[in-house]
Amino acid sequence: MDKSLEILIIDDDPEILKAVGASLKHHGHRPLTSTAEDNGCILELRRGHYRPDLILMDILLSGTDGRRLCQEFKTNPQTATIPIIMFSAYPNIEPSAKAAGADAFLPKPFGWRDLNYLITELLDTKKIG
Amino acid sequence: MQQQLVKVLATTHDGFFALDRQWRYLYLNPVVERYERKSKQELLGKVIWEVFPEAKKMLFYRKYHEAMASGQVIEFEEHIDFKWFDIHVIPFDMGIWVFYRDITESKLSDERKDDFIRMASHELKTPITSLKLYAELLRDLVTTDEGYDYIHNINRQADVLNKIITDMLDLSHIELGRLEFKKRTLDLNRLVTEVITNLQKTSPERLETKLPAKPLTIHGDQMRLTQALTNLINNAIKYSPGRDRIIITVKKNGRWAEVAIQDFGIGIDPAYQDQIFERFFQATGTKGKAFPGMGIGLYLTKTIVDKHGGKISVESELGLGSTFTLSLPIYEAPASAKRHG
Repeated sequence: MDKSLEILIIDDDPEILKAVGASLKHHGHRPLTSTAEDNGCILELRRGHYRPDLILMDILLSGTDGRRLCQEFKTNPQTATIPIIMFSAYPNIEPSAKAAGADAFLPKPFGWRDLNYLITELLDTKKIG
Repeated sequence: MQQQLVKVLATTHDGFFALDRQWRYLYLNPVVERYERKSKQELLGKVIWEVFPEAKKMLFYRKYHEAMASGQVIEFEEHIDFKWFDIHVIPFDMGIWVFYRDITESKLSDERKDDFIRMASHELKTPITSLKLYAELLRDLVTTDEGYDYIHNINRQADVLNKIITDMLDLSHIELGRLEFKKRTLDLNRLVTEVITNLQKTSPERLETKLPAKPLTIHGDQMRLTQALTNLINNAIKYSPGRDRIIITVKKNGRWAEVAIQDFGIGIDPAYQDQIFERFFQATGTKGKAFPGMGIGLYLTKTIVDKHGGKISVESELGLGSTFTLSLPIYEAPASAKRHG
């Protein structure tokens, strides 16, 4: 890995947070995990007090639709330039995820190779860093 | 006999009526009276659009016409006044018999089943993601070849599980007519090459390809055709245990673009060759040995090929192997597009 990135993972499923977090950490990144209802973290993001290199986000979140949150981040000047990868078990959702501003989409199930491919692509197109 | 038949029709739970060639009611049973909220006396002799003012805009009107003109029995489903009907039209010398059944309940139950499978597939795909990620993490931690093999197997089985879930979801979508196709022009050579490159990452089998020099343009859904080709090649691998050679040939045959997948495996008993594309059909080996799977793959493959206006066929000999040939219509660009290059 060329670059260690600070990556925020937003999901309601603690198992996914743990597994994706462990995988990112193992490959040298610095993951931070959050649920959509974790107002502290989201609030810090909204205010521009916290700025990860990348956000990984599930589409199905309890309390809110991940796409709505993505759209909000992409229209907020504090967060608009942070690249977002959305993931979902519903592959048909991809167009609406992209329409909400997601830079990339990852269908579940995915492994490290799939995730790393997208991260590298975003790095190559200078959307990260 | 005729009187008995009329009695039977009067007591059935399905709607039954006859129209003459001028679209007038000749006969109807009590179910039709109930649905139309009119008595037999009010309906007999009336033209159908007097009873059903919107008739000419409906699918059934077109289908009745079709049956009268062709003399063929026609079956179809239509959504009328918030209900689903299964309708059969049977032509006779004076006009048509129409038999219909309210299938709203079973349609709703199919939709509920589809919703359940969709939800269940989501719930299952999430833990598969965790499994795959942890298996990959472990791969970097083990130090022996044996350990590496075990982890490779966990990963492969997670992929098998994912395929079963995806197939079940597709099957449910087919039954409801919800399988989506996003078609565009594609080069079949390139598509086959991509499928093979992808399969070669995980299959040690030798996949030999014979491709024509020129591109073969088709109009299709890349994801679905990839799924169909992957199914066929994976089957060739699965049913040729111990053999490591599969030949994939792409060629132009008249107005068809063909892909033939040849294996040298167990082959298919001639008695079953007509059934292998049926839903849930399960092959067994020469000694009755069952192969894993649910019997959905070839049914899905055939559905995908059918939706592209294509054909699929098999030639096989027991003990010598099988060749599956998938044919898709070659795409001809419209004349105006050709002129502009």
